[in-house]
Amino acid sequence: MKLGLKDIRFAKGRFALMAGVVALIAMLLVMLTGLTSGLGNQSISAVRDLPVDRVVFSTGDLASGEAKPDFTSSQITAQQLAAYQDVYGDGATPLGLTSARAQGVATDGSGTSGTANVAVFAAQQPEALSGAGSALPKGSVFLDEDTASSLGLLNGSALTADAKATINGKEFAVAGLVDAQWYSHMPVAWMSIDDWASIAHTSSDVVGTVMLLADGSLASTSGEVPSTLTDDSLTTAVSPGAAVRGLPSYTSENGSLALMQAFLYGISGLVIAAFVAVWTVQRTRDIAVLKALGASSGYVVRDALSQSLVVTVLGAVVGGALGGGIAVAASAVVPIHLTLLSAVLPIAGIIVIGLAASMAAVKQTTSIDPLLALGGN
Amino acid sequence: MTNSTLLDSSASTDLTTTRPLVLEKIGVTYPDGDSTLEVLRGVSVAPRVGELSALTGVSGSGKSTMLTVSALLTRPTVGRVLVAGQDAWSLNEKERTALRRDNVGLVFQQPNLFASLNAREQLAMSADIRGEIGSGVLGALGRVFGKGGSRADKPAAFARADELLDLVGLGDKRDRLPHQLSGGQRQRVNIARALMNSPKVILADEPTSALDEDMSAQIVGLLGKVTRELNVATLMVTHDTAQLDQCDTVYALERGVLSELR
Repeated sequence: MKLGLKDIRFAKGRFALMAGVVALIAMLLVMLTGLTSGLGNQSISAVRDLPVDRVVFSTGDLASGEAKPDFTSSQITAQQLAAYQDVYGDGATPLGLTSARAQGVATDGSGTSGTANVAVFAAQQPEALSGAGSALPKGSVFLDEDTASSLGLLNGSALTADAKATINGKEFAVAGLVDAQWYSHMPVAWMSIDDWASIAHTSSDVVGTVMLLADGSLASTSGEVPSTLTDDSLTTAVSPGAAVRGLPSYTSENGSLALMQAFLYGISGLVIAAFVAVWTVQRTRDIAVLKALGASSGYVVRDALSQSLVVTVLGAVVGGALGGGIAVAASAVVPIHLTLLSAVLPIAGIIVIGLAASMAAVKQTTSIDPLLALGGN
Repeated sequence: MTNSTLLDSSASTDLTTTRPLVLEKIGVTYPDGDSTLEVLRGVSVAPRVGELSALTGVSGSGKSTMLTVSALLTRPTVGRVLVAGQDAWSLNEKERTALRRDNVGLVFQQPNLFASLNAREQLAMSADIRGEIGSGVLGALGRVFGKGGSRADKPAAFARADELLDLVGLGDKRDRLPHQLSGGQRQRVNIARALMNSPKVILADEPTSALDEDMSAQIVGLLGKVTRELNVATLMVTHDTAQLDQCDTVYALERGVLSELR
């Protein structure tokens, strides 16, 4: 028979208001978490999911220890590729990247049937990296279904016969559809490294933007790329997960969204602490009476905490569920990617922060003097 | 009653039973600028069980301080306070709180009832504080919303509450919230709550100050009734001289010095 919980039932409106504020924050946080994940996915999934051991960047004149991965400035030369192939053989291959404008070629020869901006990923064996079921002939590309649709190359869910697209002005046959992958918010179009060289306008000694060390390559060098190799070739080798930091736009975008999430966590803690603190002040006389009746400070603190636990959990769960529902509904038009875990974590975070804030706020109950219960005031 | 006789007595076991509260040569001083203010001076008193004792005096005479010393809420500068035979200020805070919780019933000047609890729950809260209804958030949630939780001792606590509400004449109003009760009824709940822990001592802080004369007479009469029926020692601070006839013993405080008027 906890007084704090009885108070919730007695003052429903006041506590509903507070739980509503917590719910709104939880809703925003869950949606923002989904948006952060979705935007991040649209920015880096093609790099993050590369099935390779290492992504190798050129570092210009910097030693590998000083250099940061950067897709914008990295250019792999034939000499650098050769240096790696001396160690890893065919496990070291170039990957060419460029952004391009794609236009669908109308099957009736009337011109273009649609346009899209794409990120071209080019490799010696694109089918191995793209997850395609068949080899990619020279002069052909793999597209994902949405991009093919944007280019007007779909008949139902299948490619039209003789589907073609021009990329940076050069015509390619569309050889098949692959799962969507993203780089810097553009869908990836896969092609051979030779075709990439013809549209990327690079200097003659450049063979790719970065280099890939195939899955299992590092076993021959004790799990790490030798520093002599990176230093001598002016390169740096990182895992695909770390390579995403090579997209400056991703780092700043993700940082901004993470900062917004941090602010929301902070705001939720402050709001809950402020409410509990004000409520505790309002309950000062009740708490003094409890103490005069013999309640220990622990009893009073537990009572106040159970009250804020109910409000926080109720608000966070209801708000989180609402946010999750809205995120799922909006995911068709907004890049939101929400899993059960990424929905539950913000809810749990608000509850933990709310309880911590409540603990700080209810500490003042320990200093309330039971003498306040006596006398006529 | 002669306090010196009482305090010299060697029959301590009997004292504990018949005089559960003993103030022994109590002095209380407060800082007052550069000097000190002596609020109580050598106060010795030991109310007897089954008797309603009144404590009177003008404002500032030290009545409230004497009550808070008796309730173990103010530490005397000198002297000892014995509750149920235990020297309260030789105990640590936790033990002293438990001593008060188990032996002293407080009747507040204002009823100080909790707005969200009905009359029955006001009393049961006292049992909850003593851990008699169980604890834990889940159990509490279950009890609040009427599902699950540890309810083993709830019927016993509520039965005791009902018994006491019957005693103070509110058996038919046990489900009413404070705002649904009159001032006199709230004060009766206040008295019943003080009895919930089966105290040996009841300390009442001007319980009739907000009541009219008829209601005051009823409340003091009720205090006398429970004092005798439940065999407790009751010390009541009051300004209301009209009610002193209902009291067995009357003390007066003047400038911190206690004397027995009757």
